[in-house]
Parts: sequence; C-alpha cells; structure tokens
Amino acid sequence: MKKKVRSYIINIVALVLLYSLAMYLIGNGTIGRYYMGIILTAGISVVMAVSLNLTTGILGQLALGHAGFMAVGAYAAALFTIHIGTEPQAIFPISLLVGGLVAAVFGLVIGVPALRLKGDYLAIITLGFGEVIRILITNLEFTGGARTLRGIPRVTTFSYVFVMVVLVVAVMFTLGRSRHGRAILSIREDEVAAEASGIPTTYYKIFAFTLSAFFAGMAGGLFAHYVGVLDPKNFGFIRSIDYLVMVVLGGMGSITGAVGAAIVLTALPELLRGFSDYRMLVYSVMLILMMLFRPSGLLGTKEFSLTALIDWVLRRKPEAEIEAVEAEQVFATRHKPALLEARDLGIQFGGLKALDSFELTIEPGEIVGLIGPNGAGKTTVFNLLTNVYVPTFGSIELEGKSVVGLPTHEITQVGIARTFQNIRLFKNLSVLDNVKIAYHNQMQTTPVEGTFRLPRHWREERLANARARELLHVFGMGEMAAKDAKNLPYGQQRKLEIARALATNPKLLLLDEPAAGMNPTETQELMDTIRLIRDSFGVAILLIEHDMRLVMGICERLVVLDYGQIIATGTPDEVRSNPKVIGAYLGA
Amino acid sequence: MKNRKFFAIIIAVALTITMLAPAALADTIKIGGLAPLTGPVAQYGIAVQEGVDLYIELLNARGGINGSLVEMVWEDERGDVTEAVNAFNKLVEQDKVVAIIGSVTSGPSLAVGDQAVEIGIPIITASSTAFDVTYNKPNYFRTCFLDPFQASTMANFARDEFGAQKVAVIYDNSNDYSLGLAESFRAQAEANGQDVVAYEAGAGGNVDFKAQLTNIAAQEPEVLYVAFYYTEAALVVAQAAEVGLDVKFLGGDGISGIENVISDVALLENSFFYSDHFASDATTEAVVDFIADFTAKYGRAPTIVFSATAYDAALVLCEAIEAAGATDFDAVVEAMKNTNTEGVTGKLTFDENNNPTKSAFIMTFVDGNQTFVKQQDP
Repeated sequence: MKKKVRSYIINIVALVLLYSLAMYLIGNGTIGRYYMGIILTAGISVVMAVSLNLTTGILGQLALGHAGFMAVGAYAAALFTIHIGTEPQAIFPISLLVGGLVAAVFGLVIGVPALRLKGDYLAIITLGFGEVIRILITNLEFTGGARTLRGIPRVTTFSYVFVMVVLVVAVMFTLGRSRHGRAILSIREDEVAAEASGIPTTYYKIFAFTLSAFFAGMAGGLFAHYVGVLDPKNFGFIRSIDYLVMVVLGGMGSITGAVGAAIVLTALPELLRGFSDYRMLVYSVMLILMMLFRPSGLLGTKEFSLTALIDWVLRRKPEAEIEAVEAEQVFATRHKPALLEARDLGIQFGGLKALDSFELTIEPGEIVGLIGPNGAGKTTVFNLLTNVYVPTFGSIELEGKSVVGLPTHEITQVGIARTFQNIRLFKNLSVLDNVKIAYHNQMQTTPVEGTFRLPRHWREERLANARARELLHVFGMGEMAAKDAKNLPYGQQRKLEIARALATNPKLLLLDEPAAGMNPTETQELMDTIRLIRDSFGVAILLIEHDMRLVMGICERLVVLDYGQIIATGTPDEVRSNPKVIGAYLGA
Repeated sequence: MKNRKFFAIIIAVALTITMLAPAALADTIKIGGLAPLTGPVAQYGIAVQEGVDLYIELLNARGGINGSLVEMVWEDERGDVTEAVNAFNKLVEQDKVVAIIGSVTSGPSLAVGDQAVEIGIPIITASSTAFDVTYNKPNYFRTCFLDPFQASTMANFARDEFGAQKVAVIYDNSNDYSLGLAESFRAQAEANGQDVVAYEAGAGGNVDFKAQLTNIAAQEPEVLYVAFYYTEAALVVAQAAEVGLDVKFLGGDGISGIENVISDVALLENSFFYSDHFASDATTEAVVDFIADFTAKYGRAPTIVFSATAYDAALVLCEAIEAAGATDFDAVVEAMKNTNTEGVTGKLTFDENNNPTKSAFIMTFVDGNQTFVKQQDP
C-alpha cells in the first residue's frame, strides 16, 4: 500500500513538472508553432496507439480499421461543434465526448458480431469497416464529402492534448490492473482457459473493443479541431496501419511502449526533413531495422516505470509486496453438497457416435476416475460437461439443475471447474495473476470502480491477493507467486492449473490427465494434493488418468469407457478384475 | 601520394562550401515553397517547384529584387494535411520566410489557409482550384483559374464549336476536383439549353468504366465531359472505343499528361478537347521565352501547366514585394491585390476573392502532342 502511494506521488509530481515546463517553454516562445504542431500531432498519435494497443496488444485481437473509428469521432465532434456551437471553446470538451461516444457506438455495432467469431475474422471485418467508413464519409452530403469538411474551429490546445494523453494512459493502467484488465489479458493468453476460469470472454472482448473505439473517437475529435479541415482520404487503410505499426514497434501489450513508439514515429518524418526527397525512404529503412533488431518491439510486453527508475537510480530495493491477510471474507465459500447426474448422455460427430448412453453420478466429496484406452471418449465427456460440445442427446444436472446449453463460463460459475490435458495456463502472466483471474466471478468491482481505484477495488484486490497466496501456499508454490507461469517447471504448471481451477470455487473439479508427464515422485505428490483438495475444500473430483497407480490409489469409484460406451463401473478392485476391462484396456 | 589525395579532398570540400555560401547572404529574401515533392501527387508538386525555381533563378540573375537575392526554401508535404501544417509552421517559424508559394492540392492548401490567415503571411497557390482556398482569406491568392470557370467554359466551347445539344458527364464522386467540374459543367450546359443526357459516377482508382460508358452510349450524346485526372481519363477514352461510344471528349486541366499514359495516342487525335491554364505552343513572346528558358534549365519542355502558373505565382509575389519595397506582410498583401501584370499564362488581375481573371486555353492533340486550339475568353 505504501509502495503504491509513493508511486502515485512520484507520477503525479512528474506530470505536474512536465506540464509546467511545457507551459513555461510555450510562454517564452521556445516551443513555437512548428514544435507545437509536432507535439499536438504526436499526442494525438499517442492516444490512437494506446487505444489500439488495448484491442491488439492487451486483448490480442488484430484490428485493421482503427483510423475508421478516428474518422467517426473526428466528423462527429467537428459536426457537433459546427452545428451546436456559438462558443466552440466552451463546448469543445462536450464535442470530444460526443466524438468518443459515437465512435464507441460504432465499435459496439462492429464488435458484437465480429468478436463472437474467432481468429482473423476481426481483422477482416475491421479492415472492411475502415474502408466502408471512408467511402460513406466521401459520399454523404453532411460530411462535406470529398470536398472536405471545412471551417472547424481550431480549438485543440496543448492542455487538451496533454490531459487527454494522461487520461487515456492512466485509464489503461488502472483499468488494466483491475479484475477487468486481468480478464481481458487472460483472453489474449488463452481464450479457452479464460472461459473455463469463468471469464465471459465475449463480453470482455466487446468491452475492450468498444473502449478502444471510444478513445480513438476522442483522438479524432482532437485531430479535427487541430487541423480544421477533414479530408476522408486522411483516414484510409494506410493510416490504420501507421497506428498498428506504432503498437507493434512499441511492443504488443506495452502501454508505455505504444506511447514511446507513437512519439518517435510521429516526430521522425519531421526530424528527417533534412534528407528532403529521401526522408520517407530513410523512415522506412529505420522502421525495418528497428523491427529486425527488436522483433518483439522496443519494450516487448514490459512497461516503463518512473518509480522503478528512481529506485534503480537510488539503488533502493523495491519493497516486497507484503499485505496483511484480513479476516474479513468477501467471497463466500460454498460447502453445499454437490451432485452431478448425467443421464443417457451422447454426442454424434457426423455419423460417428463419440459417446453413447453415458451415465454418471457423482456424490459430494467423491473422487471418481474415468479410464479407458485412447480415443474411448474420456475428454469428450469433459467437453460435454463443460459445454465445449453440446450433447446430441441426454441430460446433465448439477444439484438438480440442468447445465446443458450454458456457456462455459457460466458452467464454471455454477460450480464445475476443469483442467486441460495439454496445460493451458496464461503463460505470460504471473503465477499470482493466473490464480487471481479465476477469482473474477467472486469479485464485484465495476469497471468504473477499477478505473478510479475506489475503495471496493482495493478491498477486493487485497482479499484476492491474500486468498491467492494462501491457495498457492497450500500447493507449496508460495515462493513462486511473482514468476511468469511459463517459467515454472512442468509439474508446477500442472499444479498451478489445478490451483486456478480451485480458485473458481467449484463443487466439482474435472482433472484431465493431471499426472501426464510427471515422474513417480511428482505423481506421489500429486496424489497427496488431490486428497488434500478433497479433504480441505470439500470438492468432488472427476479425473481422467492413465497412471493406474494414481487411479487405483485415490479413486473411490471408476468408470471405464471403450469406443464411447461404458464397459464397467465399480470400485478399483472390482474394475481391476473385470475381464472386459482387462481385455479392452488393462491387459492381462 | 596519400597525403596529396587527402589534400585534394579537403580542397574539393572547401570549394563546395564556398559555392554554397552565397545562399547564406545576409540580405536575401526567403520565400517558402510548400508542395508534395514525394507521394502520390508529387508530379504536380515537382512541376510547381520547377516553375518557381526557374523564375527565381532568372530573377536573381537579373539582380534580384532591388538588389536583394531571393532564396526559395522548399518543404515537402506529401499531399497530407497534417504534414502540410507542420511544413507550413516550419517555414514560417524556423526558416522565417516572408511569403509562401503553395500548396499544390486542395486539401493541404485549405489546411494551411486557416493558419496563414491567423498570421497574415502573403501566400499564393499556383494550382489549388477549390473555391474555399482563397474565399474569405484576404492574404491567400492563386494564379490558376477555378474549377467552375473551366468547366463552364467547356460547356460554352461544346456549344460554339460543335453545336452540341446532347451532352454527357462522367465523374469521380470521391474526388473534390472532379465533383466541382462535373457540377459546373452540368449547370452551364443546362443554362445554355443543352440536354445533359447522362451523368455517371465512377470512383477514381477504378480501372473499368465500361458499365458507365455503356449507359452513356445508350443515350447517344454528342460530347462527353470527362471530369477525371489523366490516368482515369486515358482508361475512359480507350474503353469508350471498346463499347462503341463515338463522341468528342471534353475535359479540364487535369487531362494534361494523358498522351503519356494512354494505350493508343491516335484515340486522342482531334477528339479530346480540354481547357488549360497555358498553351506551350502559343506564339506570344512571354510563352516562347518561358519555354526556351525552361528547356535550357531542365533539358526538356514543361509537361504540366502548373509549371507555368507557378512561374506566374512567383512573378506576382516578387513583383508585389518589389512594389511594396518591403517584406512586411500587410504591405506585400496590399501590393498583390493591386496586381496588374502579364505572365506567361496571359494578363492577370485578381477579383475580390483573390481569384485571377484570365483567359482559358483550349487544347487538343495532334500527332500525339498537346496542341493549342483557341483562347476561350471568360
């Protein structure tokens, strides 16, 4: 807490100093028209790059039409000022807001259909959107068309641009480090795992995309009131690419990287004026060199921190982030009895019945094993239970309520958590954040509370930190909280995935081959952990496993699958001696 | 031996520096040049630069303005409004120029116009034809005529020369210049009692206009006004032949250069007529001298008329500075308003909106060369 306050003070003091210095230099004429023009353009580029970074760097979705949102915002704000304003100075902030809101509405309209799709669709749709906007503006009467929109009051000042840049960057940091920011990051890292951790991924994709459009719209408003003339040609595909280049060059996902790259790339063509005809060539060559030598961008995913810099200069060791665990419990722990009932469950892929007449009942606190040869349909059962696949027939009920057709994240919310056969961690996030993401649904901080750091944000963050640490401690991983998940040894990664699943507070935990790739010592450790989970968290467990020592050692009941059919159920001893099971799976 | 070589290099460098030195004379008058010298419209920017540089070179050879040499400071704006504003600010503030010639295309000219009015610097464009560029901007002038003017001139030309009753128009609805021409042509044709039988839009950058041309052919017009720049116009002419559209083609100043890009120059022979600011084969003394000087400096004749209007822009500005006897903004602007001179593009005065009052030259093609037809007075 002390560390955070110190950091706030350092940054605020630095901003005030920077602003005062700039105002002083403007006042005495050192910064004249020319430099001011470059500074304003650079500031607008910063807002554009940072907002695009939200979609492309943080959310991890490629967007190729960011200039389209800028155009919408620019024209909306400019038209608002022209038609409403007798006092353009006075209504300028409202114009900017109008620009942002109109762009956000467009973002929502584009985002809702586009973001439901996966992969490159968003890139294609935003590419199309950018062009549609440009052509619409060119052909509409009220936008001035190709004749350009003229006579926009030129009221953009240094102060407006400065405040806007600070605002956007601050929101990116505060929102980005709240539960909402973590949710957005988790989508970039692994959408399937995010959904399985209870994150409504579609909602957060649209949220991030719309916010990104909102800021681009405001940047457009600043631009319109700076140049005074809007030409649709200025908002073409190339301009979108310019901003994308800034994000890529700065380092995808790095906010300070985007800020730096936006400033450098805006100022560079001006600095190169001395090269006259060759300056765009020099600019392009420099761009290529930068990408060759820093393929992950100038800052990668790292952030520049003034506080850390000061600490480094003063040789001060950063204070360890030790926070008192409070007794107060905001997240309710469930200990209600769990009961899963799957009846006559089956799924057909084309003509192939991957699973047929599957029956399963799990009592509260039970450990059940699902075994069978490869391709028997074990993972299919998991995918049906978590609604990754929709069953062709049959029913699944948790505590008497059907869960068929619920989105995966809602299934996680009602109490079924899972791990994956091939580990799916949020690799580039810290171990602690991996667990904290799974607390998402147990926290109530709204985006506004998160952005402005209202008390609930702090209270919930403190609690989430404490509980995540406690959970990691139970798994013997307390020391590794700050490490990136990708740097953990294999066995630890498996454990972290289980810890993350547990953090969603499940009634039933599905483990898909938890011991795969583990050595005998690690497997032994895992068996202890699984028992511990059941005993101390009161969670029922369904696990798929090929390691018979583990299965026979901890499962109270087994279900054996072969060719999508149950061929045996019973205690480990019963199953072990069942001739069908020996024939199909265990071998003589 | 090695030392000698080194010595030679030193001398060469020193000589180069000495040769550059006159540019730094204390009593030079600095004039800013703002043009797209790179990028998609660089062709026009370079033509303007060549025309201006030629005038300034000749002027300095004659002894400059009242003994002061004139130095041009050129800045590239790539046809982009933001870059134009940056370049404008640099010229005004860093280079401390006393006046500006530019910009070349309408968007950048409009963007710097607001800034120029703020500080009152004399500024003159040789090529921006959009009405708003000089409208309500007391210190912004131009030496090219306006789009409405040249389009309506062509409607009159179609009536006078061909007695055309049925006229058609093809234009680019995404382009300001094209829209302006098309609308003015239509308005004048209707005022003349001519029948506008087709008014078809096609986007600039397209390569296929056959659909529009087929529609136009169905209406059997006598003339087709092609409100395009030369690249698309060349396609239109070639494709008109393919769809069997047999008309006289008319166009604006953007047609100049079409003879270099069209697939078959024969298609233009006495069939394409366009209005221009200047005819290089006119026989007045001013034009003959201009062509000779230009060819001497650049090793070829000017291909784009903006070289001539730019020459005149530099002429108007420098004569105004001379008449004002000073370089303070207001005095020069006042002198420019009172311009009454004869440039290479003819007699030139300014109206109340700082637009030139001048004649248009009607051109066609003979043997693949631009050929002067007649002078159409306003």
